[in-house]
Amino acid sequence: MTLILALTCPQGIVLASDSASTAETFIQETHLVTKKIFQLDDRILAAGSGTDCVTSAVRSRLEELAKANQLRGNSLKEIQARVAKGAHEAAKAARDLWLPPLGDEKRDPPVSEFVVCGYHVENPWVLEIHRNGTVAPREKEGFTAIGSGDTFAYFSVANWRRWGIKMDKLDHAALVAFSLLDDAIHAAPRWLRGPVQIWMMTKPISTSAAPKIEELSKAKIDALETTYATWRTAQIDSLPGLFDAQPAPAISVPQQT
Amino acid sequence: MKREDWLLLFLDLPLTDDGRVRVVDPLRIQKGLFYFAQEAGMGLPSESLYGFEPYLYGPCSFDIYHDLDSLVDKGLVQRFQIEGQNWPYYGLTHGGREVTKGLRDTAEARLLEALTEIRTRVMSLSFLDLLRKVYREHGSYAVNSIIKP
Repeated sequence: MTLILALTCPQGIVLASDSASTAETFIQETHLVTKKIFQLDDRILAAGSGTDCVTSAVRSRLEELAKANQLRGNSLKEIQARVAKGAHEAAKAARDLWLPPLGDEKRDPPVSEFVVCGYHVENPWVLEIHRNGTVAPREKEGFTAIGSGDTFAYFSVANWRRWGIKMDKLDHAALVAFSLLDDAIHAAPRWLRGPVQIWMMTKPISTSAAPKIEELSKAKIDALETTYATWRTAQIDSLPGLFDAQPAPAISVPQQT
Repeated sequence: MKREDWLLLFLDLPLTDDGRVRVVDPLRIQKGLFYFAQEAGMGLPSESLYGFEPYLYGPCSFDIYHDLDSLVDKGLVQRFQIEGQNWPYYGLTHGGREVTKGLRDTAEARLLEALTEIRTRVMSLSFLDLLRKVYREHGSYAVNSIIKP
């Protein structure tokens, strides 16, 4: 299971994911930590869900396109069309290489989806690439999620929006992204795993400038974890009729030998 | 004394009567070392103190998280994930307590006393009362806070 999400706000774009990767063998499942978000060039980030061999092949293809300057140009539509075509073709080729067709069997599309996002001139764009190669622009909605855990995030975002959550600042969007992933990981610990990975892309300061791109360090992810716990604790403390009070800070644990 | 030495000393709470380790949440570690820098650390060299910036929950030093990880890697601090709690807690390992014994001998008594008093203060307040106090006393560090206690 994977959960990848993208959020836009006036200050920029946040792309976030869980870290779970599962390798299945004949006798057991092995859980690994994997990086699902990658930077294609100084203006574009991407992330993929699906079988590792397929997502790796797509990543390589998109990196080749970026190196060949195929993801630059005046037309955003052309850039997005190249990204979508490259991703879908690479996914199909990888699937056929690792899982060859049996005779003339009719094949389902490869199980992989991608989110690619960036800035074109000064405008943010977020493109969802579905497993059959179709695409959906998501920058107007300001949110998208992919992967088999996407329902968790769609539910939470709808809930927060109902209560009028503000995401004017990039830090706030990062906090919301952390909260969505942290909740999903706790709801489905068997399939989704931490650590939460977050990349932030700050809106460029001029039409010729590139956005500032930052992969949040572990210290910054830990700070978001403290902030989210602060948020939840404030809710709990203000609703004593509904929640048990938080325990006093003097918590103790057995000593290690 | 380096800043992570003060972090170790902050975590150096006495064991409970039945030998259990007292542990501290990251918010109280952050606020405690913030007060230490503001109230007791005047005149100390910069490598002895953490720098703080106004963050989503008030004053925050990202270096504290980095040093906590580093101390966990060195086996001096342990991170505890406690069932039903929203955040991890930190406490000293046996090795960490051995190190703090030596630190206590070299630390200036005035600073040790101040650190102990500050720790008692931040540990005795409820979560929201602690935030209220920090924000009231150091309003410039509350400007980016998502909480208005």
